[in-house]
Amino acid sequence: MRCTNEEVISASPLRVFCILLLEEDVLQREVSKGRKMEDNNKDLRRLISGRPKCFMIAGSPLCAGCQHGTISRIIGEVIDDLGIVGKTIAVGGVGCHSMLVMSASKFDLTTALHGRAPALGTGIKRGTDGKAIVFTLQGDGDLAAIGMGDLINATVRGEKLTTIFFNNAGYGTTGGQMAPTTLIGQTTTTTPSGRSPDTGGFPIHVAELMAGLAGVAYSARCAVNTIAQYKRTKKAVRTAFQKQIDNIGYGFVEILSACPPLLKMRPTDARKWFEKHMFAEYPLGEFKNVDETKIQYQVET
Amino acid sequence: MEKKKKVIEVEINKEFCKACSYCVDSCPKECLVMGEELNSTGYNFPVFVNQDDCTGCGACGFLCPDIAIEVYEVL
Ligand SMILES: Cc1ncc(C[n+]2csc(CCOP(=O)(O)OP(=O)(O)O)c2C)c(N)n1
Ligand code: SF4
Ligand code: SF4
Ligand code: SF4
Repeated sequence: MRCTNEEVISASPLRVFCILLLEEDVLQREVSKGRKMEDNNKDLRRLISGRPKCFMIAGSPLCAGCQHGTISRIIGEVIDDLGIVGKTIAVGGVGCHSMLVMSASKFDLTTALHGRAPALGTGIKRGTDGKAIVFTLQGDGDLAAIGMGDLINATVRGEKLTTIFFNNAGYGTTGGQMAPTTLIGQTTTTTPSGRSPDTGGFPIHVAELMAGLAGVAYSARCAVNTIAQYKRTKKAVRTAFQKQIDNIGYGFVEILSACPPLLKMRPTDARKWFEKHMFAEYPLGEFKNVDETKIQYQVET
Repeated sequence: MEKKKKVIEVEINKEFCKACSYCVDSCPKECLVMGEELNSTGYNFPVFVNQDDCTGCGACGFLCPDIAIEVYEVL
């Protein structure tokens, strides 16, 4: 019930109540006027860098210097640029990698069991007749250890999904254990004298592996240490989404992400360590970018 | 004719900052320095000290992992 006619109000036994409503009305008008003024003021400034529109104003739950934060922001910026916030559904893995998006994003999201994000993503994509834009957020423990089969089989099934892979060379969430991507010689809580090939095997190169799979349309490895790398990463993430939007194939981006507590270093030193060691093991670049998935051989019937 | 200089505003949300100093490292013009003051969670945060040299490249805002910096161009 809205009272706008003051004469009716003064004659009414519900006068006080109506005046309250009237005041609320006036108040709301004032508030919206104020908002408009704020918006106008905003138009006087152009945002160069900062919070993506699809992120709420909230503090990050990640550690100081965790580059997962920077990567999450790139994802937000790409979703803003592509204008797909209303039809995007994120599927988070278990680990720090999904925490900022999970706590700040305005788009829909859900969490899968450890490593199962591509499987859950498949269900969402197929259940919405391919209309939803589905992407997974996964770490090296989540994707390259417990979830390797799920990822590979999603590409084998020819799913059109996008995966953003946060490679921090270890398990961050659970206190710094070895992951399949941990470097030879790198100390972690489960490799106290450094990862040795005899007992710990070899680091896995997921971006190159994905490039070799027929269902994959895009695969790249990026980093976010410098502004040039940031821009390349943003372009790669955008392309990985575009491959899904254009219904071409699986889009995959691996991003090297420094985790200072894992290395027991200050943030700036952890970043330098990454530049020196991670970049040596994991070359940056695009490994696959095709506009149609290729059929190797077909039986003629 | 002299080209009109862009007016840039760098806003630092001190409560979101965790003192990683990536922004200070990434600024090509040394416009930011880590301050002494602490925020409510005990981290010191950067201060924007060199408005004149700032080019508005946005690097500090892009590379801040905690989304604590916003760079604006005043139109
Ligand atoms: C089935 C199952 N096994 C183990 C765990 C414990 N666990 C939680 S997070 C995590 C590792 C996450 O590492 P990663 O995916 O690299 O993410 P990061 O935290 O490094 O971003 C593990 C082993 C779990 N939650 N579920
Ligand atoms: S433990 Fe590592 S990965 Fe997890 S929030 Fe901290 S820095 Fe990021
Ligand atoms: S916008 Fe660029 S020049 Fe200005 S403070 Fe940030 S990094 Fe430095
Ligand atoms: S990059 Fe962000 S979190 Fe790090 S010191 Fe600068 S403002 Fe603080």
